[in-house]
Amino acid sequence: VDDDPTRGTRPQFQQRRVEESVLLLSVEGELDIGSADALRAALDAAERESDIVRLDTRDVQFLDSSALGVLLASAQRLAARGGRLELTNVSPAVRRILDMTLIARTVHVIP
Amino acid sequence: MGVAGSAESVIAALDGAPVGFALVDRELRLVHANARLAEWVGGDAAGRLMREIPALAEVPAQVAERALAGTPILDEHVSGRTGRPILLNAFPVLSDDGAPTGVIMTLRDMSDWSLERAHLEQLATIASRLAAAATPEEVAEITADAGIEAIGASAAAVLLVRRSGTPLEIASARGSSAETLDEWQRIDRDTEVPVAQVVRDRAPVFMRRDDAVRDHPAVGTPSDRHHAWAALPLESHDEVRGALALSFTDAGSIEPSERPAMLALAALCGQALERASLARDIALANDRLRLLADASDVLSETLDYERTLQQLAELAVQRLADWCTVTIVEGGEIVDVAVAHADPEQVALVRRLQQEYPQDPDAPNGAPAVIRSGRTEYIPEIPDELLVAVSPDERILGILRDLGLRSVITAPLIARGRTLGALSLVLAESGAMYQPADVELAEDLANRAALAIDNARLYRERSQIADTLQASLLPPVLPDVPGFDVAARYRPGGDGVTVGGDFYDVFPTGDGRWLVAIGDVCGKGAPAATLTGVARHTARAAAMDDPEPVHVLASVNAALLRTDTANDLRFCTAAVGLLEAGSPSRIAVARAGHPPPLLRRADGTIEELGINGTLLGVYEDPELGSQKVAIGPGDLLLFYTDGVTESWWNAGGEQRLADTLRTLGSDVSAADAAAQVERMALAGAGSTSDDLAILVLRAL
Repeated sequence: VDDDPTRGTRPQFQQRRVEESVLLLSVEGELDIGSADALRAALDAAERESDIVRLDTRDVQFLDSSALGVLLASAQRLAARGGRLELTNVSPAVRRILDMTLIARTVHVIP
Repeated sequence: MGVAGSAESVIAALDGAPVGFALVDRELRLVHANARLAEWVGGDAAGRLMREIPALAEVPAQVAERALAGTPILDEHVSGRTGRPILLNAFPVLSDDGAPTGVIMTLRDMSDWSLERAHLEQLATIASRLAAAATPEEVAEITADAGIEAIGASAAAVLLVRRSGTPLEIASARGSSAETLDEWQRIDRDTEVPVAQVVRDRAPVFMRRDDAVRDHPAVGTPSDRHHAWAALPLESHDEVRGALALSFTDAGSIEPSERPAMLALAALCGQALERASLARDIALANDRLRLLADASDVLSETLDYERTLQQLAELAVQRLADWCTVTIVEGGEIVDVAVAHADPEQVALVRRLQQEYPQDPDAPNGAPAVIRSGRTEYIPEIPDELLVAVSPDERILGILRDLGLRSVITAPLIARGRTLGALSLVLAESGAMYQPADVELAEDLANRAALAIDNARLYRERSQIADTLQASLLPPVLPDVPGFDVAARYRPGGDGVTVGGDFYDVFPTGDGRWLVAIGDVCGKGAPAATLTGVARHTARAAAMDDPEPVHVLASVNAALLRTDTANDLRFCTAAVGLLEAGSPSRIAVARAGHPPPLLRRADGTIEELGINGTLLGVYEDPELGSQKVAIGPGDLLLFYTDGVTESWWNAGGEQRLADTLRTLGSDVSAADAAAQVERMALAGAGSTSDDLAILVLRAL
């Protein structure tokens, strides 16, 4: 089918350890229904490496509910084992979505 | 000139001849040898016994002795110890009283026979050309050329049996008039003509003019030009593949000595035909694979299977059949959905007949029978009785006979164990007949078609189920809210078969107030639909108890947390407004992770309503609050889901939405306003794959 929603943007993820306990995951591209699977896979991989995963969203302009669901699920899994999911370099648009959903309770926004 | 002089001159002539000439006495001692023989034996050997001369030791003593005994030896091939082939003639020399006194011999070294060698070389050349031929047609061309150039015929034709059971057809011809070729283009194998006879008997026929007239009257009067003919079967070890016909102007051309070259040519040709036909079988197998691949491409292009089946039928007609029809069972009826033939007029004729004479589901043959049994029907050669049996009347029988239907395969369309229809492939005017290998191909094609039909039907069914389910999640009709003009738009995103996660609702709370709700469940499909159902129905129930927006959202949150969902996190965003009509009217709005509803004042200013609250279904202790505003006449309330602004994410969707609201006139109807907002959303540069829901209330 032509309008397959999974055929959306294909984000790129880069993983690198920044502090002893923190794994930094840089995302390039949008986080929406089209890239939710890729985001989930990248976070799963990162969770296996570290209890603290920091997602650098410098280039992300937009976050939809599917991506939000993936972030929340990852954050809950990390929190359950004493870790956490952090977002850094959050754009104003993403910030607005985070504020609107009060998601900062679980997903830690750091400067 | 005297007799003795005459004898002298014979000996002189023999001395200069290009053959060896010897006179031996009773003891087989060489009395005289001509120059050629002297050269051959390496010097003058007169006086020596034959068996002592190495070159002549080849001639077995008993042959010379036979001649000495009085028997002339004519054209005897001898080859002695060194293997050198010699053509020997020997005549006894008799004394006056008739007693043999010696032998005169001529010896010809056949290994030196340049003409023979040329023949062999020609055959070798032909063999190598034939070995390089890729198709039966090329083999036929090379063989016909060789018939003229190497064999010396004035006309040559190669006739091939294309498929078992089909007539002989001229594949290549040289030196014949166009009329002759026309007349003999196709020859049934039971005809009493030499080429048909050699195919039947697998033995060559050689004939002169008299033989032809006597033995083959069916051929008619032979042309004056030719005086001898040869017809040779072209066979490889397993079967006869055709015949080689050669015509000669010289009656001597079919003398036994001339025949080995023709037989050799025919044998080489037969082997080359076998090889080429194997190569063609492989190419054919590749073609079939390609046809199946193309069929799969055509069938997967669209879900409109009536159209793709017609394309499939046309594909089959290009490569595999003269006619192709696809018949399917639809609503209990047998319907011919596709018919194809190279000639559109023929198709139109058959289409008319199909309308006049619908398929009889109980017919003993053809598509109805195949659909009932689920088994392929393969009729390699359609007998006339079958045409009579299937024709309802004389007119149809006449048409069917005119169509020249010869061979048919009808394969069932089976998917997931059910027979959906049948695919018929028919050979007619091309004259060919289906072989058992074609049955497999037809069944492969039918399987692919069946799968395409099944997929398309499943898709349609799912699409209908999705529509029904979606409708159950939305109010069928918006209620009349006193003092307000209300309208909604809903558009499921994605592929049309997946139930969306957006919902909205407007209902009275029983105390004169109205609850307005909009929400968006994360995800799609059945799990999302379950949560949507839970959210909507919980909101209604909770509002009966206490319609305060925070209470309604908290109830939904608790219900969602209780709802077991699969491993993926499912949550919901929602905005709820409690509307109280009056002077002025008021609305209290609470939000849970949802974009703020917008209030466009009659003067064009835009306000965002509600305060940020936590997503529903995530936290046991939600953080929710409400905000109340007054609404004046002409004010317009917009509740929406993020599908509206999402497509504009890179161009400020919320800003654009606010602009859209501002441009609406103060007297715009709720329906027009909702439609405008939807247009704006759909005009977004990004994909519109997300659902979108829009709810507009305008204070009158």
